Amino acid sequence: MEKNYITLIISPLIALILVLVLTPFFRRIAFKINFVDKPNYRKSHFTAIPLIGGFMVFLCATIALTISKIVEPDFQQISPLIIGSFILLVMGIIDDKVNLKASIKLIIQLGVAVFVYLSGIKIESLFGILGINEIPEIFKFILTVIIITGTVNAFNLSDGIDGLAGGLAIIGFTSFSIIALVHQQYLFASLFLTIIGALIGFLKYNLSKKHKIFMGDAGSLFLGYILVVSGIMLIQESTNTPDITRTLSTVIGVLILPVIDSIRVYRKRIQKGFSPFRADKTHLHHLLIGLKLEHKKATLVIVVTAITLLLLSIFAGEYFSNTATIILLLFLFSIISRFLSMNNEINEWRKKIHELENDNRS
Amino acid sequence: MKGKKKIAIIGSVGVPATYGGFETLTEHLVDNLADQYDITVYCSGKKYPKEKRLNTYKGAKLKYIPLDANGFQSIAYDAISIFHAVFRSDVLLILGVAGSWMLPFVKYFTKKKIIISIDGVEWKRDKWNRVVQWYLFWAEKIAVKYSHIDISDNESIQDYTAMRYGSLSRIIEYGADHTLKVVPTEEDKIEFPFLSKPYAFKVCRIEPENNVHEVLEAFMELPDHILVMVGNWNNSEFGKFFREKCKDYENIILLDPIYDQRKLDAIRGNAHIYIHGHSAGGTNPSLVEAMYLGLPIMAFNVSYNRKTTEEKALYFRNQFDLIDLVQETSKETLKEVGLQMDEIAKRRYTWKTIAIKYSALFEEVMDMKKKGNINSNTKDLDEKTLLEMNIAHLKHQKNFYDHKK
Repeated sequence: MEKNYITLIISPLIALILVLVLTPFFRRIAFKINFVDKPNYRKSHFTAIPLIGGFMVFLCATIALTISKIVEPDFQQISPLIIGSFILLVMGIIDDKVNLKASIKLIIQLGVAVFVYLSGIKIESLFGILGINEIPEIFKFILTVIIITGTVNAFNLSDGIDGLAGGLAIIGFTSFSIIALVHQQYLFASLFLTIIGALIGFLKYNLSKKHKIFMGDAGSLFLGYILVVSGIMLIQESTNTPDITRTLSTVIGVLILPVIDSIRVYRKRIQKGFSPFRADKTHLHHLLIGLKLEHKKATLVIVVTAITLLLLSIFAGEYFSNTATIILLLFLFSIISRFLSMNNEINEWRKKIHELENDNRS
Repeated sequence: MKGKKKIAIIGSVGVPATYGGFETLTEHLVDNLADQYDITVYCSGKKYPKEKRLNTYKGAKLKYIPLDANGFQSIAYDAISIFHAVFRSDVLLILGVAGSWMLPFVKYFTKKKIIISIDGVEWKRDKWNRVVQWYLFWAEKIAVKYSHIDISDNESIQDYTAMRYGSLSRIIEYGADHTLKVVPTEEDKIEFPFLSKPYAFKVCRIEPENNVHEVLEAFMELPDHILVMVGNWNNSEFGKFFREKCKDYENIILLDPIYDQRKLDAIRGNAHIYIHGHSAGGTNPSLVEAMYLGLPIMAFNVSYNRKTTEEKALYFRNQFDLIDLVQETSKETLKEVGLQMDEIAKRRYTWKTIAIKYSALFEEVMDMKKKGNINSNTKDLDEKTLLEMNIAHLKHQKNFYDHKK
């Protein structure tokens, strides 16, 4: 397949150009049909912003892949990826427009995860984590469904400030592309690279002031989905090869930051007696803004943290057991987030005390 | 009769007191309570050189810890004192939260009773950098959680601890009756010529937190009124900047710190107006002392100062308020305010009263097993169940700090 080398470059380029060219046009439509995010008390923007990012990335990546004739011959192999992400995209678009109930969203996500499992994409082993390797089929099912749903949600929640979800997705897809290229899985590599191309185009608008667009739930859901499902596929492909450890630690390194952050947030909310899905301002990016960082700097800090965790994961994976690596990552993350949480708590109390001090009615 | 209860006083620099609020407090607790209790005071070996050390002082035993009682070393200073006191005392009275990380161990492994004075909202103060603020914020939490009784020095601090921890802090302020009412001599008048005229007076650390700039800028607009301000002007750029800026104003007199207590009391005791610009959390000993001297007080308008003065002083929020106050307050009003301050101080801020409050806590804490919480247990019940039983109001309890909102 000599054509692959060319398509590896051409397809991403087409996707990039398409996003850059088509976005202004779709922005105008979005304003007309009111497909925008309006400011409210939890949001940090003051004007309505089109929510077309996810749609643009999906549309342009699909067109690019079709034009470069990557998909057609091997459609079978990646059909679960494309079908699942299409379902989540549509669900996300509807949610962005009319706000679906959390329970309905969860059921759809679970359904998609079950579909993935049924198409043979699953977690087949614990790879020595906690000393466990082989697991019975029922656990494969449960684990696969939980990890897919959990990661998709986590990624969805990480989309809070400019450039963050896009940046995290680019890091993930870049690492996955490298694994795919090393394993000579050109189909995967060109898929990931094409999404990266589209994401770069998206980021140009997402980070701009005048022509800003958001990814929307649509974007974060489907990108999270592709990340976690292709992560599982890469692990499956590397099973029983010497590369399994490296693949595994890369996939863990890519997904761990949004996942443990959302677990932390859920745990905090449940601890306080609220629903885990109650919206608040306690995600990592909120905590960083509490340090009085500008949004772009906060994004940069999280992206750098994500890269550090990723490299650490790969590095530790080489030398320690998988269990030790995960414990190390969790430990690091909990220290960072604990300090940041305390910082936020301080800001909160500072405000309350200020009110107390200046309260004249007694 | 069983022996006297053994009390350890931890966290001050030590006695005989030559330093700040905690030391003066310790000195007067010893003065008033040494007959009743077997008191041990932990002192800083750094501040009391070997030849000046005493074994006992006014009936209290002294122990020296070779560390500084303030700054970073206080974390270890307090902790070592606590560790030592656990083996010798029944009640640990801890002043300040720096060593509170030891308290969980004390609470879990011993039966010793812990009373801690959290001393204002220390973590919020501008003078600390972020890391220190983080530490103090955490230390305060541990202190309240693992003590048997915590003490606030101001009603507003009590509101704060109730809101944040659900703890019912006991309010104990400071005494002021060690302050001397001095009539200036002829020599004083030669050294400080302004003593023969009416003047406004302020003494504080020269920090933005004490609203030095607001007060100075007000008097720059008031050339007919004399302001005397005592403070460490040369310690910071902030101080030097204002000293330079005020050179051209004849009505503003900036003095370096005065360590001669009699001289300082002569100047502040005879002021026409006392200006109190402190905004940091808690009851400030210097305000209480000025009240005891019966001075007409113009205080910065924060809840701490209002509570300390029972809302009966004059208050300003900025330089413009202060200008109005100085220009428009009549002599009669000033006199009236001075008398009211005097009345409050005599009623609340004498060391005898303060010492009695402490001794009441020493008695109370001996029988305490578990620290109470101001929130009733019904607050934790499931709201739906309560609603079904038509008692959902139990979920939303009103606390004493709520009426102020």
